[in-house]
Amino acid sequence: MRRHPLALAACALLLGAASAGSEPLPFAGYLETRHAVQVKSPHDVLASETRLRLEAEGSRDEAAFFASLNASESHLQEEASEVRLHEGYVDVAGDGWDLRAGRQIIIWGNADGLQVTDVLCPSDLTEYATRDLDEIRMPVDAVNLRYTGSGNLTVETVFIPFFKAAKLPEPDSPWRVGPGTPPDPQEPEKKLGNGEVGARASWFLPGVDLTFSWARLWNDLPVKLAAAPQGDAAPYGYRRTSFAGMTLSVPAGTFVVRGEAAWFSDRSFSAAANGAPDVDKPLLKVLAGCDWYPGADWTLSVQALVESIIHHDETITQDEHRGLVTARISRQLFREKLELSDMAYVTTGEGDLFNRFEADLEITDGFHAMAGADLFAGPRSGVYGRYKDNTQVWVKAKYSF
Amino acid sequence: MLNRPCFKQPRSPFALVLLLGICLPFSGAYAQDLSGRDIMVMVDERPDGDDRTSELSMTLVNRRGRERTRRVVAWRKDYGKDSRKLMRFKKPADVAGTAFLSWDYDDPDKDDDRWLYMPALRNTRRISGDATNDYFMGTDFTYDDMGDRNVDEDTHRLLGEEALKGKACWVVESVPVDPSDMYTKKITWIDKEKDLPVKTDYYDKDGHLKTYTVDTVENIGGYWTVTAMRMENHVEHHKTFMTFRGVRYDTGLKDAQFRVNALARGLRR
Repeated sequence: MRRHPLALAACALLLGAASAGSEPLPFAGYLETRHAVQVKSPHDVLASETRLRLEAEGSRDEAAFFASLNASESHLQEEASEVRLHEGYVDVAGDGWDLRAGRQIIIWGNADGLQVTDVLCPSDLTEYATRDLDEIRMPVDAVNLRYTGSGNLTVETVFIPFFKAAKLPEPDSPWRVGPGTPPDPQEPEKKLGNGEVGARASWFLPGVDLTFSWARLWNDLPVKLAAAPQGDAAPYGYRRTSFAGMTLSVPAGTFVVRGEAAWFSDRSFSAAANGAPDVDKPLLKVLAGCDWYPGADWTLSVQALVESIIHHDETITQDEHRGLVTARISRQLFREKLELSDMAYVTTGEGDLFNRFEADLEITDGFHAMAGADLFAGPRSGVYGRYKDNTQVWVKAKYSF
Repeated sequence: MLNRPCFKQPRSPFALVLLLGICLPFSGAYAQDLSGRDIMVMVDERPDGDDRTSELSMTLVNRRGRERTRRVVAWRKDYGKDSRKLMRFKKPADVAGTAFLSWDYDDPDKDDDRWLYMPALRNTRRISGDATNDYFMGTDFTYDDMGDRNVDEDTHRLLGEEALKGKACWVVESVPVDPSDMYTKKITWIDKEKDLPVKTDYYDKDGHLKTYTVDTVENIGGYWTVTAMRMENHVEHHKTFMTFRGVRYDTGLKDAQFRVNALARGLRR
């Protein structure tokens, strides 16, 4: 007989809530179930999962802690069900400084739905980009020290002692397109010298926000390190890179204009020569965006991103320049009970597309029912077009407590 | 790689705390021959402490009587005629932990600075500082209703004097200078003893839209403070009741609390 640990946990939660009566629960979190079905034949179920998130926090004087636990049950693959610590950290604050130590999510940058200077936390790509942001971003064990004692300047330093790789789709996943990489790329040895470090200076001033960031880190995706030895598989692993970035936000009436740029010293690209190891080149990313708040609960946002490979030559397959445009529109209706939103990503080269439409209805306080569609279109050679068989419709219910 | 913000953004509650800070001196204005503008200047310049902390509960009631609840903790600190305001959302649970910071400027030609911290995104974003006619968190109050509207954004006319709930009031009509404003006029009853607006009728191009009513006024820390109010929308038959608890003035709030780098730290709930 199959066990349903999450169902039991949910029942325990509800019983606990009932016995607590009107008293607030000692923890917060949410219970969520989501299900996605492929639009085209054979109409496979692409995702079916129930998740319980429990969060606890407390404080005393200038110290605080936060912990969140994820219990997820996959209705497709029982072995994918898990209970794990999502985040768990302590905050300590002094006069002009604060420290956060432990498992945490650190997000840099101000792009909407894109990563430019957001380089510290690896991503869970098991369902590509169709998951919610706080589930895509994977927490890291880190020490985050901030100096805040100089007015509007904040200086932040981050140390991540142990490398954590991005999570890729399993070989039998519909989101695994192409041959992919071997299952066991060699990860960096867990030693202090292999840690990642970063620093960021931020100014939040009247009329402008400005940040400069730098980091020495590992690329989160595996690369082919060398050609395959005779009769053996090619070795895969991870490579170091240096990073420098900046962001800018300027309000102008009902608009907010945003800019973001990042430079990487070593990004790996597939070699043009058959079987050759991936080639490292510097990469520059530049994003310009604009948010518009016209009123009547409308929000519109457009962004343009250009990636340019420095010292581009014939040894790699990727074009020297690659462009992407995004557009997002949303409106809240019926006193914010219903939100309709649509976000589209279109590449300028291949012209392929990812579009997500979503309707989010608040049934009661904290209880939402959502439905939507993820459309992938365009040539299969494109970054989105390759997933065109995975165009899906989905439903989700989420109760936050 | 791309990802998508999952969070349903709460509308930016930019100048709510100004509304929370309705208070007035003990001495009323007894001057005669006051104009409508004179009265509104007195209302605008009521002393309200150098800083204020309060907890706001909002109950939204639709035409079928169904209720929704929102809860916010708010702080305000004055910097001369400018002020900085911080709000942390507590309920409903799906927006708990969201924080909103605004730096409001008295100069009407200078846009306010506003930032929103969303815990799901672990990120602070700058948002537009331009007032809008959106409703705040689904209530019947627009941001403009709750904001620090400059007196000279309207032309004011004293219509007369009238007793309301046993209190002598001035009745002032205010017509927006900007013809594109969502309201065509407002008529406000102002308690003469306290220089306090106790009722406002809002009109748009279709007629009487909604009514603001003060239910309870208390003397807290030497300041008259509205601790319960309501807004009733006569078209949608929707009501919002607001109550304030834990109101404290002049507690010496630190400047650091009103900086952007403070938004991402502290308890979520």
